[in-house]
Amino acid sequence: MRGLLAVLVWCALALCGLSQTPSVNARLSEGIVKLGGRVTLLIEVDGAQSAQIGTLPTIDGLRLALPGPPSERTFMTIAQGRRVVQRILTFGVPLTPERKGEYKLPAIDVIADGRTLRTAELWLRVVEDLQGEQLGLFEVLAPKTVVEGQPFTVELRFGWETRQQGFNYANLSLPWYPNLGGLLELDAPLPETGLGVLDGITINGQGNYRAEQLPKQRKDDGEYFTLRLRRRFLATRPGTLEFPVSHFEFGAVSQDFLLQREKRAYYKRVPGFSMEVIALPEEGRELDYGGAVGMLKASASADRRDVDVGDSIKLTVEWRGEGNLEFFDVPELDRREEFRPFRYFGKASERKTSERRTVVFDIAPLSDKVVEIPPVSLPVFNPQTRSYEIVRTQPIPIRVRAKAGSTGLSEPAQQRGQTFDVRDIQTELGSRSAAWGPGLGLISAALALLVLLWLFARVQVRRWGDPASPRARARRRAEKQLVRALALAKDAQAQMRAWHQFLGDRRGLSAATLEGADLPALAREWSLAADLAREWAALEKDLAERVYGGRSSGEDDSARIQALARRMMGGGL
Amino acid sequence: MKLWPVTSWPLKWWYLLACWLLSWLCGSGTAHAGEREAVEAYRRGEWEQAGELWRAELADPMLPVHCAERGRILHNLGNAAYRAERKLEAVAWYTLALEQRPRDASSWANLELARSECGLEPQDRGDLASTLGRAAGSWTQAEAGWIAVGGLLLAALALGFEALRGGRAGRLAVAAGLSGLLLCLIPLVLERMRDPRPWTLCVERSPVPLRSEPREEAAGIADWLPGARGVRIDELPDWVKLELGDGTQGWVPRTSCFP
Repeated sequence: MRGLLAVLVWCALALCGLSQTPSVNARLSEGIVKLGGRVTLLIEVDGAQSAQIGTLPTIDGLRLALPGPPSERTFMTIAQGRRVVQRILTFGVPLTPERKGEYKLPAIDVIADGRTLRTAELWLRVVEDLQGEQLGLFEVLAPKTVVEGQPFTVELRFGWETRQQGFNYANLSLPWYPNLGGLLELDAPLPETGLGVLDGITINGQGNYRAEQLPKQRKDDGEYFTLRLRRRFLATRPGTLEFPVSHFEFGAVSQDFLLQREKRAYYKRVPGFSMEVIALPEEGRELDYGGAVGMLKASASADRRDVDVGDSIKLTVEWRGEGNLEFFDVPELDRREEFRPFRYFGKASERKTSERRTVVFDIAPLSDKVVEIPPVSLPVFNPQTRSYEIVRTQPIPIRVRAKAGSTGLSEPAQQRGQTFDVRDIQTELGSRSAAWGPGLGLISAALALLVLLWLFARVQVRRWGDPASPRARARRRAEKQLVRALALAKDAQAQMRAWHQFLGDRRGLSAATLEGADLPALAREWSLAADLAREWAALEKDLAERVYGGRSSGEDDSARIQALARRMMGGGL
Repeated sequence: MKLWPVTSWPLKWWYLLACWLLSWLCGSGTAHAGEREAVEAYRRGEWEQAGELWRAELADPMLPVHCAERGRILHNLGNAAYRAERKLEAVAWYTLALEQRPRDASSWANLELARSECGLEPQDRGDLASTLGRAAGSWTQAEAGWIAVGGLLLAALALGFEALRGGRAGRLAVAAGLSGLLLCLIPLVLERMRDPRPWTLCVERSPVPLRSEPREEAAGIADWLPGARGVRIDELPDWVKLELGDGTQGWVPRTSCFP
């Protein structure tokens, strides 16, 4: 769980580096100070172009002076494969304790690039006298130099003289723990087997840490009861890491019968120290370098070594050693040329601890010609030799048998019984004649002509009236209406009515006006031919006799009427 | 010397017809021989030789610039390049083949396969814009012209109806006719809008820097991505000046371009 959190923090830090989101970090130059001594509150603003300290709190018994202008550090780092310039502004706020006691410094607002950030709360203990230098033992063992991305261990050895009896409490005042900019805390090393442990150690007055009990240590003619606490860190950026003064506070705490707490405290001081973090060099860096730093060794094993073509093999690769095993990028086998004869299904599982990194790759040979699993190589920066090297696993011999009736698995699609290939060449000769088609110019000209013709036709047609007027529509529909009316007509009167309606529709007249009209005059007016006029008159006469004369011939004049109607329409009606 | 061995006009016409038939027969006979050789070489797996023979056919001056036969040869050249593992070059050949025969299913299938194997996005991405673009671009220049003529006839019918009958029906007919005409004009307009300048394709596996001047030391002002098109605007023996889709102009080595 802690490892997972560390990875998340690492990612967050990397993202912060990429996006240059400002962050703030505060620490004291000393966690325990003698009355009358001075201590400085250091506020570091990371990734901001400008920053300003907000209103300082007022603390009874502690005087806070105004901070001076910030000091500035700029350095370059690589986050997620990109070179990022980081800028750190450091403000120093001098604190002067006025009386002894334990002080809580509340969060302080810092305005960085227009954003308001807050520091963490800090604790400061002011004591009358820092006595006990001779009684106690306190050492901080840390490397002087590390490489960016290299994990390292800080070992704290502390204790008191064995002659002293009744000591029952121990507190480490470490102002740099756990928030020192540029450091990422990793999982603590496991306690060494065979050593006793002691619980109840506090750091900065908080928590409950378990310390290993080392054999008694002799120093300066004294023998010391010695405890050890180890913490692992990873340097996230190059530059100098400043560790402030640390104190070991020890002594005896007792309660009397009134439950009043009595404390007898002694202090052992370790001066501040610094650590150089060296940037990863560009020279010799492989293109696929995934950030591995350390002295690593690799081994590999396969769950099966006698397989058929296409059978899955679980290849377990393990990297061990002193290095950032939790953080580097594992090689992608599908991008490796030597793994081309294999189908790569991905990583089946992955386990990370501070001591080993185990990845199980799922691969399948594509051909029966494959005789070994090639070495898996990982570019690593070795901090001892200060150079990049390739850590390889041993090749694993395997036997691959061809499946009966199969020809290999050269393409993934073939596993599904499908093959994708280009369609064959075309051997049937095509037409060699150049296809011609009208161009846009010709089409545009034709369109223009069409529009002109339309306008002309429109004007011409409308000279005779609106073709959409009711009269024009009735004229066009007259013949159809006549046929329909005659089909429905049951007597001569209905036929006569239909006939007169037809004539009226064709000439734009009311059918009633044709009742008893002067037919020869109308025929002349309508310019009908003489024979048509005669035939019309005969039809009118016959219809009138049948309607008004009571003559019922039983004849159906529908066909005669329709024929006459068509002839009259042809004759100009 | 007499230009015409015959003098009367009817005889002249017959003479011209006979000459044309003779040249046509000779021409197609040569093409057939070259084609047979190319196909045989391809079947033997001699992709380079097959490609050379088809290139020779392509260079035949009797072969019109726009014809189905040219599209067929371009398709076969694409196959020869594909088999020779020059897949980006195959993409270029298939693209050229589709300009001649935009609806040829085999060329489409091969183009998409070659593009996918080169890691390029499909020519027809399958989204609405791409599908409409493909539908509108599925016609040759000549076909687009005749489609526009069809649209004109439709519009003529509608306008005639309106002129003779008028009214609401007439107006609807005009609207429908003109809409049909506009639709039918789209392929021709798109064809007309196409950049007539010759294009070329990046046949490198990695982005090629577009340089400000035709020399290796010149600054790279943009990247020409693998499989991307560029319009040729100038050429030197070893360098080609291109204009990319965003209007950036610069020089790339001739070896990175195809065709």
